[in-house]
Amino acid sequence: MKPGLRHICSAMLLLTALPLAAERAILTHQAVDKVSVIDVDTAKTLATVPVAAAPVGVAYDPLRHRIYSTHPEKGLITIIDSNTYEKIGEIKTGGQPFGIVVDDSGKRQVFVTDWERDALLVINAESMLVVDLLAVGSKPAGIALDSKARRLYIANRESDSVTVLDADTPDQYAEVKTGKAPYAVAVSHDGQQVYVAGIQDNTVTVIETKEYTVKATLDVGDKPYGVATTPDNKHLLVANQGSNDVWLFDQQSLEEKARIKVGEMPESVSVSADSQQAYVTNWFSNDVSVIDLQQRKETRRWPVAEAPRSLGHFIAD
Amino acid sequence: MKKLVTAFVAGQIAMTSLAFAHGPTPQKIDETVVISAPVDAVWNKVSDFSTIADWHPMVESVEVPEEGTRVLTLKDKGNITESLDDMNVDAHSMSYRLYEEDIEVFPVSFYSVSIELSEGAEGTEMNWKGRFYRADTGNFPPEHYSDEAAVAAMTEFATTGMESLKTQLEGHK
Repeated sequence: MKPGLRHICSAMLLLTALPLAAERAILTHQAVDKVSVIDVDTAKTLATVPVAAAPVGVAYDPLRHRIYSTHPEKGLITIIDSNTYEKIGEIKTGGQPFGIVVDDSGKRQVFVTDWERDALLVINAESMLVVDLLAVGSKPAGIALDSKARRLYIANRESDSVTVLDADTPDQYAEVKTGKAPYAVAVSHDGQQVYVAGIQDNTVTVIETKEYTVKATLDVGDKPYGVATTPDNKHLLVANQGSNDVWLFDQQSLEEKARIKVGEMPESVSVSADSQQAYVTNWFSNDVSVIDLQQRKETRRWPVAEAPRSLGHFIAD
Repeated sequence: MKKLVTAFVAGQIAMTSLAFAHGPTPQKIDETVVISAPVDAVWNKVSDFSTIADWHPMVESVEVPEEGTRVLTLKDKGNITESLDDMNVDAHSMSYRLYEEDIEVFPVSFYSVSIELSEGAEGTEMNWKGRFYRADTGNFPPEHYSDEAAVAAMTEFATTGMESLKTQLEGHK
């Protein structure tokens, strides 16, 4: 084979190989003290990792090849190697670490909400030490990061608000009122809008990030515990624990487009990097629903270990 | 930016309000009883949100301060308040939640319950599901406010109620 041709061939191989790179779903099983990792293409369980008691929040760190799980009942965070699935350490935070997000800009930061101390914990991902502890609203739960705009959005469940913080400096830009008992929060990938689900009044508050004003309040299903946006900025998804469904909205017009039945008591929803699939952890029925976003329906349901929750973005490359 | 000073102190105060229920681990129950009676007969009993005392032996009486809310007086205990979330006549399903807790009366800080009836080969299958949090949602609960105590209380309430309803409807003595 001529060298030139070989290059073309390997380039082609690379191109065809790219879309096949399987993503993984990372699940926290709070009731049985495990984190499981599932290949989303084959639905095969790649690993089941025993961890400290009661993991809730989850985050994937692509820069350091790690998985983090939060353990509010133990006041610590577990670190798992995302290649070998070995537990490589614990970070003792104290309090009740809950929601977690990794700074994917390259900065050595992991942000964690502390339910007990009404705080945001900033953790140095290299030294694994808590380096800052900032006051937020009461009972902070979900957290979202816009790493380009350097903004953090934290849902304060007992303050009915979202706190907007700078991701690099201890500055607060706003505290915006939301629906009742905001739990999950998501930011659109273009950074224009933030969505906060109020689990007690069945709403999603849509906030414009230009001036942190409420643009709309959407009526959603019963007890919305999960919210996610698609990377192509087309869709907003809301997982409703009481009505056992996911509502799909057009992210631009904010019109409701579909109601998709899933398993029992869905908790968290995450979207694939290509914006084609959504995954939903069904806490009660111990399974994960796979939603095809073009067909707008559930196409598969995988049985998984007991009580999957996965607060946070739980799809990894 | 406010730096954290008082938040540490606030975190130490033992709170048992349902408002603080999310730190610990939610628990579940999933109980089913088969009742030899038509679905409609069971549904008539179950779907009337204000008359649970007629068939649940642990409930002394019910008061309805407003539509969709019921105050249960549990025998020899005291009051807890529930609020109705959903009633689906076609699916024979309903769901409600604990609205005002009293952990001395019932050792659970928050629950949501769904009851669903379906027709089975041997009668009506009555399914009672619950998601709930222990009474003391701090990280060091005493035994009587623990996850285990909450699971025991929720299980007892569901199974006692369903068994009693079964006895009533099947005409046992």
